[in-house]
Amino acid sequence: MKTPFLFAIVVAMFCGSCHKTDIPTNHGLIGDDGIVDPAETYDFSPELADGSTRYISSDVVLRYDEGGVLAQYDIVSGRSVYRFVELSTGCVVEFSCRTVAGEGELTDAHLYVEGSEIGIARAYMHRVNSTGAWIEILAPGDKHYVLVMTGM
Amino acid sequence: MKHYSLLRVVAMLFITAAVTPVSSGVVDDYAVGREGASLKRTLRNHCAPSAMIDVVSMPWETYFEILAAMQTDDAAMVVDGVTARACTMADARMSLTTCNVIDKSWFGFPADYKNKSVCDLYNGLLTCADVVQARSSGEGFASVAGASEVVPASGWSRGVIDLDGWSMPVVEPADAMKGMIARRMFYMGTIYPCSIWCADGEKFFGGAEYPGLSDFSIGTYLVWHRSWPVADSERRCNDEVERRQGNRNPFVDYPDLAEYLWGEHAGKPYPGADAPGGDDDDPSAGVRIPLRGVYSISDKWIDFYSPYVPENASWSIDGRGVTDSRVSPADLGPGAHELKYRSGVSSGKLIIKIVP
Repeated sequence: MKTPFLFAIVVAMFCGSCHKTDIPTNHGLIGDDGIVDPAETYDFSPELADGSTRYISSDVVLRYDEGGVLAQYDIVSGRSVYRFVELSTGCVVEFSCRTVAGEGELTDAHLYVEGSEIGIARAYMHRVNSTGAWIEILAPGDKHYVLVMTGM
Repeated sequence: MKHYSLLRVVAMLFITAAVTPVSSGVVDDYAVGREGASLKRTLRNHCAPSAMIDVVSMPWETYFEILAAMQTDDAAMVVDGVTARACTMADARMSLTTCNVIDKSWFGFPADYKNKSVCDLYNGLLTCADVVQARSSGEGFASVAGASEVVPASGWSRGVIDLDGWSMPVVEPADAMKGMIARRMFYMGTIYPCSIWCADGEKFFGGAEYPGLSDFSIGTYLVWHRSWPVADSERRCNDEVERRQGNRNPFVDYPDLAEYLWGEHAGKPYPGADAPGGDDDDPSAGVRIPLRGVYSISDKWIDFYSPYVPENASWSIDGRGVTDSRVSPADLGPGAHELKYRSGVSSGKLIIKIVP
């Protein structure tokens, strides 16, 4: 009698752990391999509500409104180049990609911080219009960087 | 000779077909407005060699002549880099030999920095065999005042100093060479990262990127730097090195940098070299100072200039176009002001703050 009872307990515990799901309840997409795409689970909407020019990452934060940060936008050979320079320290962040006219995944994207390239998984243009550009960068370790450049 | 083969390979990696000189104006362009660790990092980023000479595989005589050209005085005599004894080139070939300002033993890992140090001309020195012998264990340069086992020589000395409980043999150069040695130490401590130092290197450079020199070194070398200012021979040395490896020792061209990094102005923003002449009231005259984030209302000008901005940019301030190349902070008034520029398909913006 004990054995089936214990077995039931084990099964119940196992079923309980199954309910601790890794599947997010909002916008989660599971690929064919069963792995959740972290880019699809990240909520970028608060960033879209903020039109301030900024670069936010886990290591470097540059906010234009604080002053002393030169924000630049160049178009070079069909590529859009977004650059932040903190004049007091010389810290330079540069993101470039093929120039796009609308939202969507950005191709041939590169991110350089202080002259060193940061390997990025993907970059996504969430909004681009006459006001500016809102870009999400998926960095190593599933980190989400934010680059917004407006009012240029 | 295995390590020399490795040195040769690494040295070759740094050779470029044509040396691209690092603009002597990089300090004026990038260092102004920066302080402390940022100032030091700026110098490291912009004043390092753009190419290294393969001193390992070149004939010794060629390397000797390069160093001799760096140590030539106004009378075209070769000056011993430690004893200050001057002699003809013919005598120098007989009596001087090559050594390093900083011994290889001070360089730990990664190995490529050790190899770079051998090839960096600012680490090369011609001196007599007696000095080389006295430094055979990697002895550094310091004053022997208060030292034990002092052995005076002709114009120079060696002794053993007590540094934080450590007995450290050192060599004190002739007075005439102390300023040059100090500025070479400033250079090495700035261009090379602190993480590479070991042995006596840790005593002289410390373990932090900034200040990048130990208190002991700051105390010693600032005195030497101030007491024996830059001479024309050092400026000629800078010219020689720039021609070969593309960079200049910024502490020779801009002696004040040492004061802003480690001396009486440490912690203050570097203001740049003094503007030579010019009419202070003429908006188009004088040396341009690169844009920075904060200005004082008493500053003379805000120059619409930055090494990060195209030269032909059109500027506006607070939405109003400007035609002059500079504006007075007093004309703008205290507070935040937004500068914008446009040049072709390039555009940019910057908020500056003017404080009372």
